[in-house]
This record gives sequence, C-alpha cells and structure tokens, in this order.
Amino acid sequence: MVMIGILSFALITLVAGTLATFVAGRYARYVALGVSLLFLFEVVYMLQAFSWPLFGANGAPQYAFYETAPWVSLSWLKINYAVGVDGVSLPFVLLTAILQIATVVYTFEEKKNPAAWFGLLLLTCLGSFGVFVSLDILQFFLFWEAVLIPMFFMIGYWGGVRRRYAALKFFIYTHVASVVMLVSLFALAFYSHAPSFDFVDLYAPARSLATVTQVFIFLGLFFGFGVKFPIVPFHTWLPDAHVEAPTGGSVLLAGLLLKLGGYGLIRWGLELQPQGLEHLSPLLYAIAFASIIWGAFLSLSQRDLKRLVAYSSINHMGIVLLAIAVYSNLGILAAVLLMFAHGIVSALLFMVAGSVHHTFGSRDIVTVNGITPKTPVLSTMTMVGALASLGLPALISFPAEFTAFLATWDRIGYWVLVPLIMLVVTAGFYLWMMQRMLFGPMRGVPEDAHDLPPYEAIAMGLLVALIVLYGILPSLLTNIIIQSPTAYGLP
Amino acid sequence: MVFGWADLNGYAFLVPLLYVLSFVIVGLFGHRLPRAEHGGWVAVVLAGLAMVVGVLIAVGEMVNPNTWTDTQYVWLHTVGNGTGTFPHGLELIMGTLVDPISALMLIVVTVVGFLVLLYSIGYMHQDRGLARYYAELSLFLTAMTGLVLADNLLQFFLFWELVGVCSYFLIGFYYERPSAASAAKEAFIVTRVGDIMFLLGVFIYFYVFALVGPNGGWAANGFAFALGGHPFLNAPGGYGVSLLFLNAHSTILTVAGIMILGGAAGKSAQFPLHVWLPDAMEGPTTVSALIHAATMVAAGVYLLAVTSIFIGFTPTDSLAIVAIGGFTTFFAATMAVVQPDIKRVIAYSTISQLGYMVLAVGAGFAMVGLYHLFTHAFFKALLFLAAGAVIHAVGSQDLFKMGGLGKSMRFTSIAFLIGALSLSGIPPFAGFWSKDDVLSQVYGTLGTHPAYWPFFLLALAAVFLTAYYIFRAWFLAFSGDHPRDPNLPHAHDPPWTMRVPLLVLSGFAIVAGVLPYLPAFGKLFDLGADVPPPPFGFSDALVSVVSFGLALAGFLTAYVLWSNGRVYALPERSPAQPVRQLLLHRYYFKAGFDALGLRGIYLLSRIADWVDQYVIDGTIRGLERAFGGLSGRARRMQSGMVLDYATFVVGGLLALLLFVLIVGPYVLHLWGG
Amino acid sequence: MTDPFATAGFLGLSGALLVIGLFGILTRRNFILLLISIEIAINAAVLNFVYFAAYAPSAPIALEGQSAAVVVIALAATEIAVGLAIVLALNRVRGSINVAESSELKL
Repeated sequence: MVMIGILSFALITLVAGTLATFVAGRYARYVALGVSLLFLFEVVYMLQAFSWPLFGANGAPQYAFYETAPWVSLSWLKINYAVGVDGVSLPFVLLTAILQIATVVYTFEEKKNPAAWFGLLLLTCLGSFGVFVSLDILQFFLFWEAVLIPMFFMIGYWGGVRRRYAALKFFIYTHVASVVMLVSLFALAFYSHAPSFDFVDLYAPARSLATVTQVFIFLGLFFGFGVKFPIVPFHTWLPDAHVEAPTGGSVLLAGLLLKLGGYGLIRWGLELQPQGLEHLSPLLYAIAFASIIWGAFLSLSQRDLKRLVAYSSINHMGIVLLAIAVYSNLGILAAVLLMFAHGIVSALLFMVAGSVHHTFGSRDIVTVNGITPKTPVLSTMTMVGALASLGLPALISFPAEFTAFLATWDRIGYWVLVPLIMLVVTAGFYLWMMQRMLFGPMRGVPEDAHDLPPYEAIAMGLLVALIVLYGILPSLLTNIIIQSPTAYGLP
Repeated sequence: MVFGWADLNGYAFLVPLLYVLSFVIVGLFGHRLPRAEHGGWVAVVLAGLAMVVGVLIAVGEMVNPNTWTDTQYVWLHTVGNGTGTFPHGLELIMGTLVDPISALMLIVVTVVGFLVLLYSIGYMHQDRGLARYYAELSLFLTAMTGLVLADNLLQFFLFWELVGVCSYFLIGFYYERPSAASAAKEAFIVTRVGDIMFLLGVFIYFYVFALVGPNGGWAANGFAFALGGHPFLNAPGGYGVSLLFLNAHSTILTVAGIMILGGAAGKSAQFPLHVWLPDAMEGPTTVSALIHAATMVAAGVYLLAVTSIFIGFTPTDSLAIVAIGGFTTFFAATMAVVQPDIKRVIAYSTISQLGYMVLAVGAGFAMVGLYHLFTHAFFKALLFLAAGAVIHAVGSQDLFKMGGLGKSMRFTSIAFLIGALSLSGIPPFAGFWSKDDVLSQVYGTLGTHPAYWPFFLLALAAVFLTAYYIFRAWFLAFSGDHPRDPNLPHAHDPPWTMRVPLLVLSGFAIVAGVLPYLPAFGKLFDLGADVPPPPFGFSDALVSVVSFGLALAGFLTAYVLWSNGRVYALPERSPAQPVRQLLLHRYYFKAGFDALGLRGIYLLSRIADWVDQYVIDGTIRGLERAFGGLSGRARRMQSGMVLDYATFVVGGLLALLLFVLIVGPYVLHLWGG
Repeated sequence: MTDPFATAGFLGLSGALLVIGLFGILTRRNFILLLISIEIAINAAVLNFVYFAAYAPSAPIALEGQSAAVVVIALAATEIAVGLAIVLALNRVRGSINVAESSELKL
C-alpha cells in the first residue's frame, strides 16, 4: 500500500469530487456539498497538525506535509510533483475550503444546469488549492491555468447581459498576464542554472542571481501576478467581470482568484527574487498608492453595488501590495492576513449584492432605498460586511490593516498617511451606500420582496461568524502565518 | 484564602463581559421577549450587576490607594530573527488596567449606563426595534468599559472605534428618517478623520515608547500609569525615560501630540471637528445622555489625560490643546444661545463643557480635566434625561412650542433646574467646584504662559453664556402659565423607571463636586508624583468670585428676557440680526463640510470614473480594435487547403534557416561580435 | 566514432531524407503519398537522434537520445493511424482523396 500525504489526499479528493459532480446529474449539489465538507475536514486536520521545523539541516527551507515525486527527470531539467504548505500558504488553503463550502451552500438551489455549475465551482477551488500548495513551476502553472477556464465558463454561461464581453475580457487579460508570468518563471529557472523547476531546488540559486537579472525577472512576475491583483492600470477587467458574473462566480473571483496574484507574488516573486523586489520597491509603492487612491475614489462614484465592491477590492488589494512591498516579516504577516480577511469579507459583500439583486431585481443603490424594514437579515449582513470592509475593530480586517499600516510606517514613515487618509474615503462610500440602500424611506422595493432564503442566510451567517471569530482572535491565524521560512528570515 | 480588595482588580474583565453577555442575549433572543421590554430588563439587570462590580473595583481602589493592576493577554504576536525594528518580534497586547483614573471612569460609565438603561424602559416603551436598541446600547457599554480599562494605546484605539460605530448605529436608530441616517453617517466620517490622526499618533508612540511584552517581544506601548506607580521620568525603578531621550525625539513627539489631539477633537467634538455632535441629537434622547454627553464624547478627554504625560513635554502641543479647548468653550456656547431645539442647546453646551476639560488637560492639569469630566457626566446626563422626560410628555423638541410645563411636570422641572444650576456653576452644585478648579488652575499658569491669556478669557466669557442659554431653555420650557402651542398634549411627570434615574442623577449633580473632598474618594485623582491631583477648594478667590459673578449675570439676563413665559424677539432691524443668522447657521461650518464632502470629493470621484472608463479602458479597447483589424487581414491566409499550409510550414522553416545561418551571424558581425 | 566521413555520411543521409520528404509534401496531391512523404521526413529526425546519441559521454544521456527516437517513432505511428482514418473519411464523403479539392480546414 502506498502511503500518501494529506495534501495529495486532499488533491485526490477534489479531483475525484469534481469528476463525480460533473456526472452526478441532479444529485450534483449533494455531491458537491459532501466533497466540500470532506475537504474542509482535511484542511482542519492540516491546521491542527501544522508544526514542523522551518529549516532543514543544510539551511534550506522546509515545508509542512511536503511530498515530492520526480515527474520528468532529464540531465538538464527536472520537473517534480511537489506539494507542501507553510504559514503563507496554509491560510489560503483554509480560505479555499471556507469559500468553497460557502459558495456551494449559497448557490445550493441553482437551477440552470446544476451539474455543470457545481462541477465548475469545484474545479475553480481545485485549481486554487493546487496553486496554493504547488512547489514546482510547471505544476503551479497547470493549476493556475486550470482556474481560468471554469471561471471563463461561469461568467460566459451563467452571467448577466454582457456576459460574453466580460468573459472574453477576463480571459484575455488574465491569459496575457499568465504568459508573461510563465516566461518570467522560465527565465528564473534557467538563469538560476538549477536544472530544475522545483521550488526548493530553485530557492538558493534563484536568490543569489545577479541584481539586474532579478529586477527584470521580478518585473515580469509583477506584471503577471499584478493583473490578477489587479493593479492600476490593468484593473478594468475586474468591474466588468464582477458585474456580469453570477454571484457564486463573483464570490470565487474576489475571494480566491485575486488572492492567487498576491500569493504568487509572495511565493515566486518576493521569496525567490528578493533583490528584484527591493530595487523595484519605489515602483511597487507608487502602484500600490495609485490602486488604493483609485479604488477608493471610484467606489465613491458607483451606483451598482457590485461595481462598488469590485472597486473597493482594488483599494484593498492595493494595501496588500503595499504590505508586500515593504518587504518585512510584519509586512508578509499583514499581507496574508489582509488577503484572508478580504477573501471572506468580499465574498460576503458579493453574496449580499447577489441577494439584493434576486430580492429587488436591481442592485442600483440610488433606486433601491430603505430596505431594512423589509429584509432585516439581509440588511444586517450588509452592515457587517461593510463595517468589516472599512476596518472596524473586532472584525477581521482590523488586525490586518493595523499591522499593514504599522509595517508601512516602519519602512516609509509618513507615506502611511496616503492609505490612512483613504480610509476616510473608504468609510465614506460604504456609509453612503448604507445610508441610501438600507436606511431612509422605502423606495423601489417590490411588495412581494421577502427576506433571505435559508441557504443564502446560512452561507452568509457562516462568513459573518468567521469575520467575528478571527476579528476577536486573530492569533488563530497569525500564529500560523508567522511559521514561514522566508518571512522568518526577513527583518 | 481571604479574598481581598486587590484580588478584585484582576476580575475587571467581568465588567465588559457582563455587557457582552447582555448584547448576545438581547441581540439573539430579544425579539422573543416582548414582555421583558424586548430584552430591556435583561440589559438592565446585567448592567446593574456590572455596575456593582465596577463600583466595587473603584471602592477597592479607594481602600488600597495607588494600586495598578495590569492583566495582560497577548492578542497577536510575531517572531523576530534578531534583526530589524523588532528583533524579538512584535506583540499586540489586550489587557485590563485598573488604576485610580480607570476606576473613576468605571464609576461614571457603569452608573450612568445603568441609570440610562433603566430610564429607557419607560422612555422607549412605545418604539419599535427595542431588541436592537438594547443590544446596541449593551455593545456600546462593552466597548466603553473596554476603552476605560485599556492598558495600551492599541486597545484604546480598538475600543475607541467600536464606541464610534455603536454611536453610529444609535444615532441612526430611527433610520427611516433621512435626517437620522445622514447624521449617523456624518458622525462616523467626521470622527473617522480624527481617528486617522489618532492612529498615526499610536504608531509614533509605539516606536518611541514601545515596551517589552510578556514574551520578550516589543509590545504596544502601555500607559505610563501602568507601571506600578513608578514615576514616568528617570527615577530608579521607573520606566527609565529620561528627559534627554524625550528631547531627542521632541519633533516626532510634537507631531504625535497633535495627532492625538486630532483624535480627541474628533471624538470630543472640539473645533473644527465639532459639527457632528449637534446633528447626533437625531438619536433617542437616552442615547444622547449616555453617549453624547456622559461617556463617549468624554473619551477624547480621557485619552488626552492618559497621554498627557507624553504630550505635556512639548510646549507646542500644550498650546495647541489649550487653544482648541479654550476656543471651543466660547465658540460652542455662542451657538447654543440662539437654538430653538431643547436637545441641541444641551448638545452645544456639551461641546462647550468638553472644551473646559480639554483646556485643563492642555494647561497641564489632567486630573482637573477629569474632575470636570466626572461632575459633567452626571449633571449633563441629568439635563438630557430631564429634557427627554419633557420630549416624552409633549412630543416636541421645539422650545418655542413649550412653556408652563413647570406646573404639570414639577418633578421634571426641578430636576432640570438642578442640572442647570450645576451646569452654570452656581455654588454649591457640582459644576461650580470643577469648573472653578479649571479656571483657577489655568489662571495660575498665565504668568509663565502668557499665550494662554486669550483662551482663558474666552473660557471665562463662556461662563456667562452658559448660564444664559441654559436658563433661557429652562424658562422657555417650564415658566409661564401654559404651552405656547395649544396643540401640545397635556403633559405629566414620567413613570417611576424614569424618575429614579432623574432622582439619583440629581443627587450626584448636587454632591459630585464635593465627593473628591472625601479623602478616600480623592485617592481616585491621585496618580503619584508625575500627575498632581487637583487642589480641591478655592485656590484662587478672585477667579471664583469673577466666574460666579458672570454666571449670576447670565442667569439675570435670561431672567429678564425669558422668564414667566416671555419670549424675547430680536428686532428686525437690530444690528445683531446678521450675528443671529450666523449663529443659527452654525457659522456655515456644516454647509462648508457638506460642500467639501458631497460636492468636492464626489465630483472628484466622478471625474476619476470618467477617466477610468474612457481613458484607461478606452486605451485597451483601442488596442483591441487595432488587433481586430490586423487579424481580419491575417485570416485570409487561412485558405483551408492542406497544400497551402504545407507551403507555409516549409517556407517558415527555410526563413528560419536563413535567419539562423546567414542573417543572424551577419548582424552579430556588424556589432563586432 | 569521430570519423568525419561517417558524420558527413549520416548527416547527408538524413538531410537527403528530409529534402525528399519535403519535396513530396509540396508536390503530391494524393493524400496517401502525402502521408508517406511526412513519414520520410520524420525518419530523418529519428536518424539524427540515434546518431548523435552515440556521441554522448555517459549512459543516461545516451539513453535520452534513443528514447526520444522511440517516442518519435511511436508518434509517427499514431499520426499515420489518424491520417489513414482521415483518408477513409475523406474518401467516403467526397469520393476522392485529392487534397487539392477539399478546403474543410477553413472555419
């Protein structure tokens, strides 16, 4: 009997589960729910068993639940199957499990071709999980691309009126970025002269590359991952994709796909090409500030709730980029925590937007007013989401934003005022949205509108519970995040 | 084992915990308890328990003076690798610190909190959404006690934001009213401006005064008061901060002080961030009494008091605080003079009184500021609750519709009168002692700080205005024979749940000023050598006499103009009319803020949206069209004939060969390779 | 092994095979002859793999060339199988296997 590790087992679970869901016909939703629960169970096992020495005897980084097997083994190139997690990736694995189950529950009553829907949904999560645990360039890239395809179909088939346009735009943007990213990763592997695509083999040689080489490779990686972030000015695919995507697609898009960019930038950019990052940090700061300001201001002028949340994602991911750019132990902690927080909070907000759309037939915050008396539960969820997103203490974003700003202040001093001042604008657009949509006299509300259906309420309730839990006890997450070999080595 | 007073301090976390319990029970099950006022009685009982614990802790602090009990929990930590700013990692701490002033604040918060909740049973009885009301109020009390017990600036900031959001929800309690929803948003955003400054101040202090946490990592800085009574300055066994160290960081500390002042100004509604507090009166009157008079708005003063030990070293900051406080006393009082709305009169009065506290803290008398905070909490809560009884009875807030209510609401009128006497500083009521202390202490510093003169004079002038506007309100509401608006319902005194809080608060409004004269109670103002306790009693007879005279003059002016149901109308052609208009329009501050926020920033965002759609996305779409045209031409090569494709393949191969074998080497040769 | 004449001979042989194959691909209209030409061109590459593998210094790398040759032969076989299937289908649909008459590849 071959012993396989928990990560491979989880991968097999998802692969088999995805296949089973595709062929399960009208039982697809139950299969999807079962697979999600099993996967969550496996992730919980990983969380409690997560402890290992960060560095091996020779000083090389080590990864928990590490498994490797040669796949292609030539004299000039080694491609491995390699999986492993550390403090940077495990929170994202947890995020994948949480959002998978939340999305399955939220869309439990999907009527339009449910087998395909749940199959694609699981496939997206499978791809994300693969990206987060892969420690080999080719394997990483395979999973990376595997995420795009289901998302393309989710937008293109279940989407809104302009779904074809949005799906194509999404695909072209992210695909161009993927190509640049792949070329940069190849350059990284071949310039390192470690005849291998394996992350652990590449670690030492890649970090000791000449500075100029690192700068160029990092620039390519930054573009490749940055479009997924998305960074200004390559962000215009995001609002269109969100507006046209079905709710479940939006949730995964904001909750998982944006995180792929941030995670990739940390794992393959910051960890392997640190000098490139340090030399390019002025550029990163500039783009981060631009994203923060641009996202905040554009959110203020949006009428469509989904567009508003989409632009606020640009703002938040700008803070993530800032935290990565400061290149410190604290910065990585903040970036990962912030991405986790944003994953859950934006998922909640997109669910809210979806439910508002189902219930009132419109997401326009100018014409749908005063919904609170009609739908108190939906209204409460909206408030929690908005308040969490604007960084209220005791909710999950606060420790993340606080540490991000602290790390920024540590490195670039008073420049921290830029994101701090934008916090006022962030508060402004969320509160304005709440004032118009939730409060005031009721307008544009159909007579037969009723409050959240049970499945939607359960999914949102789960996310709200997590937002509060991690807001009060952030150390549940941070104690994991700090166990990262690279972050440990940073000042 | 004998359970001593000191052991109690370790259980201070019980106070916020009881409120949390109330929040959870009422929030989840309140709507199923219609007979218990939708959970109102649950909240009252738990708040009563919390009050018992809070007062016992304060008593323990009186019995064992000068004890500091700091219980710390690590909230979040990182590991360090021996280099960088945090060589041993970083720790963010949550904890409860029981020291004299937090015990003092515990009394204020738990007692007023309990009384207001009890009062709400009667006052809010008719309203819908009671479960929400009591849950939010409980959450507010959780956050407020958490803030009071905070042992470091991060925790202070965390609860500071939480009380802000509770205030947001409670101001917007009647959310169907557009004005309430708008006022709630305004309050949140304006205080958020202050919060941003506060956060930057926290960062700076964090770096200058970071401490070593329980596990050896750098911790969020504890309050200097937390150091077991050790003097802050370079005494042996103390914190070890030397004047040299402080001077070396004087610039950055000055910036930090201004930032903290900004935060305090936002929360305590000081000029120029005062605009939100009058609008916050859209909330229920009980909320105004608890949050916008007694506790939350005083948090800014409390913040200045606990950080005064850092701020006090920089003269620029001291002057800035004195200037803001002194100016605000007068500035806010002028606006109260013309208000027709009974709650807004009291709201402006709150801003003005908070100005006195800020003034005292800035002049270097943090404990005097807290003394005024203590008395003000009671008499201002009393004024609001008495006003609430009036509003409850007549259903209007317009002073000019009222009149003659003293006959039908004798109990309420007396309670309001006690509050008014206390506020205007008539001895022997509570407000006289503390306000007199503020003025005479500031007067004492004028010799060394002549720059304080204008602000002292403004504060002195505000004494006259204070007495005038509050008695104007009292005469308008209660004197005369009958209401000016005949449509008002017949008024009567409130039920017992509302009378008991009024009675208790009246008692405090009379005696709170002399309580600190009791040696035991006075210990709550004694923090050791670095922060002198307020000198109780007439420290400067001249100032006392002058301020009493001014208050009397204000009362007499109000009596002449408004007593016995008279209504004084300013003549149409009076030169004072423009001034009156200016005051009624609140110096056009609100209009200016609206223009900046709603027009300016929104316009900016619309422009950004246009740029995003037509410039950034337009560029991409232009590229798309260009590629589309190119590909239209290229597709003609695709004939579908296999032989054509084969020709392309072979042709491409030949071209590649040509390039690699001939063109490439030739180009390299030209470059000299 | 390092006899330059032998090298020239082998390269000449594979080069000749490649050119013959290409010539056939460009001039034949009959699908089956086209397939045969492709096979000839592929065999040129296989020959090169095997020949240069003999120059390899040590065992595992020498095997790389030979294994590549085996992979290419297998590839060629599958390609022929697919090609013949297309021939049959084409014949059934059009009654002719002249590639110049069909343009179905166009979208």
